[in-house]
Amino acid sequence: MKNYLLLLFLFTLFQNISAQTMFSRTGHINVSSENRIKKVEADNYQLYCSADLTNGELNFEGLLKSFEFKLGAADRIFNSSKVNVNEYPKFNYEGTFKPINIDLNNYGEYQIEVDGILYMWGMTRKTKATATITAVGDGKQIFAYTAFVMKIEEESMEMANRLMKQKLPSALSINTETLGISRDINVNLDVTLKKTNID
Amino acid sequence: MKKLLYFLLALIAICLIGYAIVINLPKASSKNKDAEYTLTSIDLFSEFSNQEQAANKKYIGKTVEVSGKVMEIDQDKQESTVFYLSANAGYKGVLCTMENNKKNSKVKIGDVVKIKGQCAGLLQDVVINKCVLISE
Repeated sequence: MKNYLLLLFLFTLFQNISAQTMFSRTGHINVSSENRIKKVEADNYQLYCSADLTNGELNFEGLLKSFEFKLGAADRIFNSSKVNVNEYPKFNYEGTFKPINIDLNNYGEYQIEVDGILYMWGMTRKTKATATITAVGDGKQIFAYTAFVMKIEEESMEMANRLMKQKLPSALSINTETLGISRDINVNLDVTLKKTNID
Repeated sequence: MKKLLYFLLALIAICLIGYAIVINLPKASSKNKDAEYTLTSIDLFSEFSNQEQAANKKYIGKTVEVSGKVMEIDQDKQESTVFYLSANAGYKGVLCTMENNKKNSKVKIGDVVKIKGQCAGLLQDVVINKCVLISE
């Protein structure tokens, strides 16, 4: 009888813990940046996201080739074999936040502060963002939304200028400054996370 | 002087037409591309999970034709249909996001389909985007 009660207790505990682990394989990330000529915008709808609300962990992972540019010409170039991303095909984010107890059975909005590191093209970038989590009250899923701005480092802009100098005719004297390329990249993340017992 | 003016006007018109063409170019599509590789979802997933780096070099950015059993059907944030093809690896498989937002309502869970699209790499699943349905 004692063993049975212990098993029942462990089963209930496991159910409660796993109920707060949620994931999505079709998360959406939108990135945009502006220059003097046009706003460049791309979307990725194949983001893998997982959130452990009990331990306060938020991770997402995506593939560079999953980005779709709003501008058809840019999309064609990015999806051609000329753009090779084989060495670093992925980007991922590992974030932590103060654990919260979300009641999935009732509608509610929760604000969390996420501290994390974004890994991309072998580089790391620390980010801090406020995310809004909405429990729709169906007992199964939550919506998570966050928006933040990432600043391109000075050295990355210099690298882009060096590349333009090499590839474009010097008579044009085009660089990131003349094109009015902003160092700010706007990032919007929009995910529906569903309850899971996997992993 | 008039000739120079006409020349400048023609140049501006050419630039504007060029700009309009570039702005309105349709996005990349798999529809008219020939598949470079034809294989099953089980084989594709197995290649990625066994040797990810080699599979990245071989498949990323390439058009692939994959056949497999539909184990789940979903919709993403832009309401495109997403098919998960079984790879005999639990909940993991091959994720195929369809190119247009039209619902592919005829396809049901358990159907065997053939899909063509552009391989993007491996997350939990092997990801294929800009997909078109070849047969069901």
